[in-house]
Amino acid sequence: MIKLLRVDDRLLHGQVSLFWTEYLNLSKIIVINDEAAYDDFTKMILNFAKPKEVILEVIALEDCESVIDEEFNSEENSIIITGNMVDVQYVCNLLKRKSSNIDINIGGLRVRPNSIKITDFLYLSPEDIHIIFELIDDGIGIYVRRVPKDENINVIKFLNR
Amino acid sequence: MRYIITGHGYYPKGIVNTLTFLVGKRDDIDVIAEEDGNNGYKEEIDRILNEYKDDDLIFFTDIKEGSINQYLMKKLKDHSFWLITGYNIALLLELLFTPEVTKESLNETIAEARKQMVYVKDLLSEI
Repeated sequence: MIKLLRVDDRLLHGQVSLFWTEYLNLSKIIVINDEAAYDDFTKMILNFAKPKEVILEVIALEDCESVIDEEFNSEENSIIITGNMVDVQYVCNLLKRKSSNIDINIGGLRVRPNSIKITDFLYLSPEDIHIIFELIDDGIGIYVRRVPKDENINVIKFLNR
Repeated sequence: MRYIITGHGYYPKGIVNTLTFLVGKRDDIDVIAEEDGNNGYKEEIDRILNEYKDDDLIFFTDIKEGSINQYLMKKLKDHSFWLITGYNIALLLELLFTPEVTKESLNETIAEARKQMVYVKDLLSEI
């Protein structure tokens, strides 16, 4: 069962390894990111960052459909982590065929050249904001929350159409 | 030897503050902090690797899962420096007075520093 669909440009790091894993009782962490999937060295580093008892899969966007289907039907708890809004929208579109109740967790997107500051750990580009409104129009809930102890804040609170 | 102390939030600055308190001000220590939403540590690391490329550099990271540690691990591929994660004050104090390290000496120093974290009641029962 997919417990959380997360977008975080740092992919897998302490916030997931140390806090979300325990909170959601995760057995599996699935990172969907082309850059990481096609680079063995990055994959190795992500493996150092994962908790020992959890399985990590790092897969490319084009290979994620079968993995998502499998996780959707699995009894084990998993988290899916993507690195940007474009990828998370792609994953959402795949999940929509299975479920009408999808939420996205924004864990953090850091400063990029054309981004504007939303919160201390969230910077969005005009393209990100466009995608967010498309997703909201699709009935998807998008919440900002770094770690379990944070308040789960609907991203709409920060944005004006 | 140049010491680069990194970590999340105020931790690395606090550690350096403690070191200054204990051993006085040093000019061979740099601090890099990861703060919310800020990618600046990457530029800082690149700058130090470039500026001090002929020096013996030793980087300290607070947790192995952290973004700074992950970034430095990537840098190990084409740069030469020492990288230690999970540092403590005891380790830093020892290394600040060690002008040269080898793989073996570093491992010994780490093993010694590791012994500093103790459940004190167990110590008391030994008395």
